[in-house]
Amino acid sequence: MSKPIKVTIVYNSKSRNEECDAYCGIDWASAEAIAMVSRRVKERFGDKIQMEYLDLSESNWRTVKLKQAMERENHLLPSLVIDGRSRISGQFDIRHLLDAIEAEIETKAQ
Amino acid sequence: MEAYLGIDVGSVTTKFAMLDKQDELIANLYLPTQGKPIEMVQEGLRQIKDRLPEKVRISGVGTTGSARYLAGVIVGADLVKNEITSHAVATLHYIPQVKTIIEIGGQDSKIIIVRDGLVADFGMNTVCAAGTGSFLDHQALRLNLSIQEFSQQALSSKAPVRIAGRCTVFAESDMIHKQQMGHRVEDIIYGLCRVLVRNYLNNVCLGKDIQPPIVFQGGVAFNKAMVKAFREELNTEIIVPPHHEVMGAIGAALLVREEVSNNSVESRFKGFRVSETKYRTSPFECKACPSTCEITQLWYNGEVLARWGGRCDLWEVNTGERMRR
Repeated sequence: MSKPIKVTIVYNSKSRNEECDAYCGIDWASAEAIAMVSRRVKERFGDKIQMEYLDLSESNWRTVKLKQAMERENHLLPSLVIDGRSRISGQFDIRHLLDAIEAEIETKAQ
Repeated sequence: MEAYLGIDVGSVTTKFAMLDKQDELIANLYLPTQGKPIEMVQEGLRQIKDRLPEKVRISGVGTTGSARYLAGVIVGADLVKNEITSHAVATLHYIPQVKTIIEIGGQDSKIIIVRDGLVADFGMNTVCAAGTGSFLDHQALRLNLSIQEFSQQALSSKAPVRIAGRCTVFAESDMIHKQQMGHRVEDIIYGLCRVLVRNYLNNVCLGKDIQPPIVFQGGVAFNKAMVKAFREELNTEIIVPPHHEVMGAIGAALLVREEVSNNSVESRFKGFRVSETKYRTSPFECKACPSTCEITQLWYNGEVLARWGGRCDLWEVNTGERMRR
């Protein structure tokens, strides 16, 4: 079996949507939202995908380094990163997420 | 004569492309979706049938676009593909040396980085409508200009105005403010094109290795002022392919031709009679979470063919599962 694709959602639960007051997309600070996303991804793609949620408001060596890198590269939060590559920088919804994962799977099958 | 049909159903436009066995485009269509994807697929089938030479046999149908699974169920598609793959395949067919594909449609935009004939990287737009074709359409309508007039006027700008374009709401109010200050319309709308290009490059293309040849496709490539703004911002030639607005559909047709040829299978295409089929839709309220979304079900002969309308795709996925089987 091939290695699962790693999907990382980077967000900050303490400062939702710093750039815009519209509050579009998913509220990543909500445990229910995260559970719903995990369930949808699992149902659609099975074990092909490994989900990871990184809350930059939590201070540990990984989030500190990542926060610095994201600020340096002007990434917006939340960010969708798939196998280490940025796919969406800014608010996205479940349709965007599933689309990006599907594109990743198709791209890897080239 | 064998032919392969690609259908790209987007939220704003529905595109059809018919290719012959030699991958030559023999017919294409570009229709507004008008929030009625089923009816537009049916209408498209009716119209494209009339444009085909006699004795054409459809040997394969591929669908793409945001309503690709729904369209696949309606027509009996042999293949359903993501827009990234479809656009890349079509562009590589016409411009094999391409390294960067800019695609801006009515509601979605993307960048595809190609190296050695393969997709090496890609990026997609956020949920925000800033920078989409719909926003440009809305502004053209507000100024009582057709999109052609909008494009021509913007090209005549001599002193483009700086527009706050990070957000559609602020962009519109800033445009109104600049109009009230007496700036010329052509300078305001070219200023808008420039800010949309900058937004796209700073957001969708963040961290992407943009290299020429650069191909710009999707409906927004009709707007020559956007092409000019990309050329100025990237300081390089921008190629707009002849059928830029139907490239996703062409890609789906190319992919299904390859799939059907490789596997020597009979097409599942239901035929042009689909355009006369009476589908029934019925809504219900989903109670799976507090969002209580109104879900629409597509019925035919007492069977649910598809569901859509949820904020998540709890119900929509059934359509996808059906197509993936």
